[in-house]
Amino acid sequence: MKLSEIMSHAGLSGYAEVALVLFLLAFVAVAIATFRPGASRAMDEASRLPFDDESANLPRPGDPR
Amino acid sequence: MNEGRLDSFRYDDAIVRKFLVATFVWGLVGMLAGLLIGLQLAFPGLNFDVPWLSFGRLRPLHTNAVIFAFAGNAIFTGVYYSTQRLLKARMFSDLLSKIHFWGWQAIIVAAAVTLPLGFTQAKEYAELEWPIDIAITVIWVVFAVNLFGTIARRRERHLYVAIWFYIASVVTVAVLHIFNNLSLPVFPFKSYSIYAGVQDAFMQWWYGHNAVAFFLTTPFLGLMYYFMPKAIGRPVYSYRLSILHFWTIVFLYIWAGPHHLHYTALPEWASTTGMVFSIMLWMPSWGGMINGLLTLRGAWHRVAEDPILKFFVVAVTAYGMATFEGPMLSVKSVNALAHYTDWIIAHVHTGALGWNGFLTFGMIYWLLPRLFQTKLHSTRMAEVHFWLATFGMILYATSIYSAGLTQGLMWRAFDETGRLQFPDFVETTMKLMPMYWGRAIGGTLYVAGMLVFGWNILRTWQARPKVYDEPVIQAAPLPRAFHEPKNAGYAPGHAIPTSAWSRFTGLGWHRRWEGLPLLFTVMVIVAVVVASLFEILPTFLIRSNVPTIASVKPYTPLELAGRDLYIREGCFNCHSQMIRPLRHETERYGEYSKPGEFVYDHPFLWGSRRIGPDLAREGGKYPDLWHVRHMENPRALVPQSIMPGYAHMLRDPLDFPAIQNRVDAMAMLGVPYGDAVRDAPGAARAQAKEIGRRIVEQGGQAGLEDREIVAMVAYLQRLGTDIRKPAKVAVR
Repeated sequence: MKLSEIMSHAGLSGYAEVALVLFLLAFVAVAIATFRPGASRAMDEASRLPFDDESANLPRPGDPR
Repeated sequence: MNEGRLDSFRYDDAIVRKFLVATFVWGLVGMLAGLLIGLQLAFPGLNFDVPWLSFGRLRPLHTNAVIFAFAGNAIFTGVYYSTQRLLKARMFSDLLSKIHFWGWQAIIVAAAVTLPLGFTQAKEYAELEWPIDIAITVIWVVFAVNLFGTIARRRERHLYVAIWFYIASVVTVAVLHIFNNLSLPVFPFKSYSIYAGVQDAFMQWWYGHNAVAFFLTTPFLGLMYYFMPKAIGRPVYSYRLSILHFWTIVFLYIWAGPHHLHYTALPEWASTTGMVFSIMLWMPSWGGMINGLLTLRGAWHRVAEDPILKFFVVAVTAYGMATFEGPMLSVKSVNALAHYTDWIIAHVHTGALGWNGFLTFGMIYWLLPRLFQTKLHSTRMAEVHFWLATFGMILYATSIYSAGLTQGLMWRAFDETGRLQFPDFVETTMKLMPMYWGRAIGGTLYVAGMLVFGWNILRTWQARPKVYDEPVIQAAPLPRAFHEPKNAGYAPGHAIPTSAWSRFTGLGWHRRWEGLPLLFTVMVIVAVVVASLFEILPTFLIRSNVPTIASVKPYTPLELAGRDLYIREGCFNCHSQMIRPLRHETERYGEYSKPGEFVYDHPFLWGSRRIGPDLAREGGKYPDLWHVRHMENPRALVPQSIMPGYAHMLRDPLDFPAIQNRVDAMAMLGVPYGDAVRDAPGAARAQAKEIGRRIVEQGGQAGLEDREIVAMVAYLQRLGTDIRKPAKVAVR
């Protein structure tokens, strides 16, 4: 039996709904995790990374001396 | 671990300067090619009856030049500049950087030579033949090694969102390029796609749409997220939105390709899937656009005096307009009107001239004083460039939008007796002429802006110092043994999560991914590949998607040779071979196209724009002599035609011995040639003699039976005739 025949008779159409739910869950998970108030400090720090290049030769706060 | 030792290093800006100059040079070349082919449509005399200057051969040169040469070099300019600074590391290898630069330019030159010579795979934005495809793969791997090597040696643990966009672009473009270009070489510069018909079309538009997504969108979004904050001097409006923007774009874009094939022979479930995902793309696209514009909060007053910000504002606005329009065009009922018309050309140019062009200009104006370590030669000239490009773009877009709507509406117009109101195709072409001139003027303004831009670059370069100052940067290395703790919060100082839920919402896991670029890359590949497989595989594996038709047979050897000439001349750039099941189309062209009709088409030639009429049912519509005369000089038969002449096909001898290789290759791809495999040139000569005889009989010139034109006539007369034949033997 060829693979194409097996696939044709496997009745896979229900998998679309499963995929929809999985994708939606993944989206909701990323959205919750990203917009949670507790993450704001880290987000602010990350957003300032482009401005860190010129001052790279100065010791940064937190660097061990 | 870390005893306060600081690494000293320098950024490699020489490579950025090289890419910047290449961006301008190829941009000008690509846009001039575009201007020429735009003018050819308004004034066909500009094809000069020279084969390598005809529209069909130059149109892919224009698209490849502006996408891969102009936008490509612009991407590399920005990536090489920003990556080093965001990661606090020099590029992994100066040698790889140089190989990448010179290799990419060599590929562009190879494209500029082979495309006008007619070497093409006939797939949009993937026209380049297999040796060049291999070179692209090698150079792309060099780029990837260089980028990932730099990431591995970085001195900043967190990967800024721009870097994510770069990673996604690099890996996805690699996957797309390889799978769409799988082909069987026949000659040094000729190959046949291993896929046929519906499946080939599906692969091509999966590739084609994602070339827009992962070559013209995600890398430029990365550039936007770096260069806009730099130019404005404040961080992006919402970093959170940028994370969401990234993951939704990567997840959704890869599904959207089938919207290029609405109402074609593609299975309907596939085109509906493509449409639904395209509509969902509204969300991240507009999220990204709003994020870009709101980055200007509190700095809007500076837009008035700073041309760099002006360029960025228009770029992001154009991104918003193009990504509003894209999902709208993916809705089937809108697509039924817009597909095959200039509306699509207008849509593409809003994105290309506005988003890619303006973002590149803004980025380069910002980079010029920094890279050449002097003042920008003239801010006023930058202003002039901005207004020339803006008015040029507006004139281009309005002209060509009206052209698209006009022609689309004329095609579908019925009169009160229920017949086509404009049955003569060329009538709809004539209507577009004023708009084509409008486009040419708009394009000229845009190119004029490029010249002002070039002058500004040249004068700034001339004012460079004798020796560039290369400041030594110092940064602490990342401790090798460091692992992001499993249970950590997102950043140091955050509460240590206690439950599984707070561990999840603490985003420590995302932080771990970013700290492990390899894992991050794997996740991106999974998102892209899984989506691609689930969408594409069913058409290969489930039989009902491509029902076969018993009377459809392979092309004869002569017809196959003719088909390869059709490909060489780029006929598919102006003629579709796909009649949609819409009443006005079946009235105009005949029975709608079925998936089973294309099972031997390696590659598919459905086309995407009808500058001329559809040819899917061309066979038998006109006598052989009509085609000979029409190919020799279209205006001898249709005075208003804008088609280039192909008189050289009546002069140039047909290479009969080579037909054997063509047939052998097709047989190897599974096309059931049977006995024809043994003596393809003989069979071709016999058919050619018959056609030559018919041409003389119809009053044409003698002696054409060994010229290219007979193969072309054979192919055109075969098109779409199989389903009218009775089925004698069922194809397996």
